[in-house]
Amino acid sequence: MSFESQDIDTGDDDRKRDSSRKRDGKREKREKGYQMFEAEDSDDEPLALAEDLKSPSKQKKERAKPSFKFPVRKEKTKEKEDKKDKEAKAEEKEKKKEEKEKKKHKKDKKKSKHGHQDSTPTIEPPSVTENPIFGVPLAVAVERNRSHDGIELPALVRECIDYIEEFGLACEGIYRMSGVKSKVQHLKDCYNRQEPVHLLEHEPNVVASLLKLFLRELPEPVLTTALMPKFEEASTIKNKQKKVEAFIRVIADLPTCNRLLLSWMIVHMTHVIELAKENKMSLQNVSIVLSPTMQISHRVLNVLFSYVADLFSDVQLRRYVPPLKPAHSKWCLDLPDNLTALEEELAKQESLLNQLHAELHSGKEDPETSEQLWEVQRVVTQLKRKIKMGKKNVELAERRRTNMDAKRSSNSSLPSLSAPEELQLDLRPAPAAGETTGEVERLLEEEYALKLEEEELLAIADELRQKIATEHSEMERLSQEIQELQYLRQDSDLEDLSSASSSSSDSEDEDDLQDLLSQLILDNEALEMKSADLCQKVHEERMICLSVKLQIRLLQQKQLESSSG
Amino acid sequence: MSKAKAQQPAVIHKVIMVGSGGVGKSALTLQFMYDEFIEDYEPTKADSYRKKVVLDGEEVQIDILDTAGQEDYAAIRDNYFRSGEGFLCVFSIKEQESFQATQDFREQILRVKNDENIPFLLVGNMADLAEQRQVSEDEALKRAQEWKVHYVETSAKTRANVDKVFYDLMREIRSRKMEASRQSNGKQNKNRTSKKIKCVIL
Repeated sequence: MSFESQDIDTGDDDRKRDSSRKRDGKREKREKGYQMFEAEDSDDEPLALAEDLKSPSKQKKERAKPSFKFPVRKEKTKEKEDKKDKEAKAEEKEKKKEEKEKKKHKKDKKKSKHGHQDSTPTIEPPSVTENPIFGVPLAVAVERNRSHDGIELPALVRECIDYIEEFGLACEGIYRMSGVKSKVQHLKDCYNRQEPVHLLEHEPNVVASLLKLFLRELPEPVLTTALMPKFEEASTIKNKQKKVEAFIRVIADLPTCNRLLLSWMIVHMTHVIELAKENKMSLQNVSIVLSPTMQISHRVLNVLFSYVADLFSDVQLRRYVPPLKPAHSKWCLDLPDNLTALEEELAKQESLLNQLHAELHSGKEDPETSEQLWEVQRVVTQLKRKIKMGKKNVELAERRRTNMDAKRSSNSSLPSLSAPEELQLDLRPAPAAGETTGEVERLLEEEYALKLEEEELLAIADELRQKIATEHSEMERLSQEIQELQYLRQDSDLEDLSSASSSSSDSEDEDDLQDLLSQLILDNEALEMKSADLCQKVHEERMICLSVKLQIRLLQQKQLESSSG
Repeated sequence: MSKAKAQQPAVIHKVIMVGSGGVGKSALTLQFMYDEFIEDYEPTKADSYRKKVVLDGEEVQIDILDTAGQEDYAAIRDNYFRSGEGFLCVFSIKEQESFQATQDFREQILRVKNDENIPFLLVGNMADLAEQRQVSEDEALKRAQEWKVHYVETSAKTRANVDKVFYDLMREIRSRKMEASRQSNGKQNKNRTSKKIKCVIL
């Protein structure tokens, strides 16, 4: 307990320094006062909450600090602390919402003031506030800022985590240092307006601040107001086993998106903590930063971090790759080449398409969305076409292979053809044909290629059959030789038997011979392995030769055609 | 590939295929796009294509949206209707019901576009199967006259008139666009014939 309150102290100091800096900023640019006001207020809000959860004694400090807080709020927090009944909490939430609304209003005003000097408050363009991602319930944010790969987290969260995982983990004070305010605000605006965002252009601290801002502005804590007490309760359990079990139960009760956000944040933060030596963000430091932003008490956070392996063993941070967008040329779309990647991409595009349809259906009517609809539909169509073609080719290859297998097994037992080479062969004509040449032409070409391949394969088969015949005769010759030798040996054995019993030194010789024999057997095994290896290699080479020959013949044919036609 | 380097032309005409299920909307589209005739019978949900074409010496792009014939996908369809600039209303000459359904499609389009003169072609497909004809050319022509649109019979299988329907529709769309831009410049309200004359001059 004691270290926690200490933590709060540092946290508080930190924040005080922060806020004093903010105040300086305010003096400097007075006209931006409203923005500053908003920022500071939203900073304080969750912290006050966390404090009243953890250490009520700190409230004096809070009061001593000059602040813009609404007096009503202070009372509310107290009330909540005393009673801790749900009604009060709900009421408070309402209040917070109201405050947020007010803030938005003020922001609007501020912007308009910025524009023209006379302070006629104009309404912001609707696109700015129409479907914001910040400050709305998590489920709504997930809906509006969908990750199209099936994970129910806002793309914003995914993108921030991806960025920090890649570029920010080793940064000193990551998630502690705040990023440049104006940049964070700009990114937030972009996300709220659903404009393309380029996180890569910004420093890790900016991105970290953006993520924290998003978490802080969630109207409800990630743990939900309903389940928060249960988490608290579970965190007091002494028995470790029981504590973990209780946590698993409560976590399972969270709505999917809340559970995902919690687990991804905790797992991500564990990665930050793992690099504490470099980034100086130890478990405690991370807790200090995270507790107010996520509105999770230190005790609960501590449990979550300590048992991360038990609680979130199945959580794997997956990089978010957004659906492909046609490039500016709009003609050439780099679609993936293998079927699974294509199917994955198709799922993403369809998710995007569904979202667009839903938006249009709910009355959104702007040419951009309609244009995007056609575009995404086009990508879906192309993907479907490519998948269809790919499947056809695979089927074809499959059928041919089984045919060949059948032929081969009736002739002799050769090592099986290496599959990938064959597939390559099959797929080659397909992409080239693509959209330009017609199906008929493609099929004709394929037929010709197949004929050539068959010819070559038949030639190889003949060659192999001849070899088998010679091997057979060699085997016969050898077996005859063996028989002869055995005859001779039987004779000599008889002679041996007569003399064997007399000498005892023979047994030693025999031991030596036995050793020699086992050695030879081992050598033989090694050689056999090598031989098999070489055979395999010979076979592979042969197949490569085959494909090259085929290509040559195809090219020759084409040349002939072009020169004659 | 080689296509990528070409600058994309500015003009895009948006064409939407409508008609009941199984009349050959996709077959017409694929024949136009890729010169292929596909017999496999797979209902379309929605597909969209873009092609660069030369229309009377001018390089333009055509966006084709191939819609579902089934009512189940009506919701998806409506979202597209708004952004469509021209419509090919397809029925099968060997299926009377599909011809009747064109009436509904026409009404739906007019409801969404709210424009009697929207570029529109009535298309009787499967002309190669004339021996199974259920819809006579006369009754189709009569309906086309009622609607003040053109009627064309096509065969996706033999490619008969396939290019024609798409190009004719693009021409209609183009003249509509010109008319619109002229209207926004000079405030003149012209009827369709005068607009056609202007088109020739250009």
